Amino acid sequence: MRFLVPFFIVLITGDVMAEARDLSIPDPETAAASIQQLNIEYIEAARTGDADWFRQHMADDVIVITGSAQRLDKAGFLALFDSPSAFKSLTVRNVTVRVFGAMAQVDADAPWELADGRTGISRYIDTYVWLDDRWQVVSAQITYLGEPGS
Amino acid sequence: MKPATLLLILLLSTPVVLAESGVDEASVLQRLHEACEAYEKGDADYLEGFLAEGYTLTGTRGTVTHREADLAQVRSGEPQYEVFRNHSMVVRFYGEDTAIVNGITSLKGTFHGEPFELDAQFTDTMVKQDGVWMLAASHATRIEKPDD
Repeated sequence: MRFLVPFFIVLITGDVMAEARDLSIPDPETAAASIQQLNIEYIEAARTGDADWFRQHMADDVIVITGSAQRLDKAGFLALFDSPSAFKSLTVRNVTVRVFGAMAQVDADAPWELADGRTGISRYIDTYVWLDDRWQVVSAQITYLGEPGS
Repeated sequence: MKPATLLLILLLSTPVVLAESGVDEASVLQRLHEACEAYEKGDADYLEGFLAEGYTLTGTRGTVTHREADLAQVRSGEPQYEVFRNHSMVVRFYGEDTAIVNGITSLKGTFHGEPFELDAQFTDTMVKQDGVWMLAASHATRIEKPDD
């Protein structure tokens, strides 16, 4: 039994060391491509009101700052999808992805039009972290820029 | 393995993890506190060692600015801050090198003689580079008051 104890400690230590090096983190090029794709899916989910996409891709402790400066947790953000989507259109432009190891950020402008005809542009930054072998949104913040051409 | 042995291992390892997390949170908050002071004093030298290469700021009007432009603005002496204070902060760590800080910045000062005062919700993304916490990105959204 005694020799099992150091063996167990070695297993634990080895696991911690592997986590510290985190060999599973994708290289920056692969990461950037993944974040680009996730950003497209994110915008499409926002346009169509697809709460399930956000439920799956947002970390449990995500914090979202809305355009009206509300600070929402995951439950609060998902509750926004209880009403049908008001978007007639929602697109992105000026997309920039930056990768910092196990963290990546995407920022962009998002011109939108609501079903009632109102239009506007919002700017956002989403932060993704490599958690449980996949990219998860841990933070999102939105700033309303005004109407197109303003 | 005896349950007592496993318990001993957990007891030995847990306080270390908690202690390191506490130290890191204190380090992050200290860096942000010092940065606020630097903005108040117009201390561009401190901010040079605080804003990471590639740093971006999305300001309350949605304008995106970068490290060199922000440092140049601080060196220009405009705006002048009487108050630059972060509060109501929540720090989350992801791994050893990433921290996300949400909070409120209260600002009061003048810009070319015109007074301003506002609160903004911010998200700061901090990355640890060479053992030092640096600001990689900041995004601020103005909190509208009823009389704004």
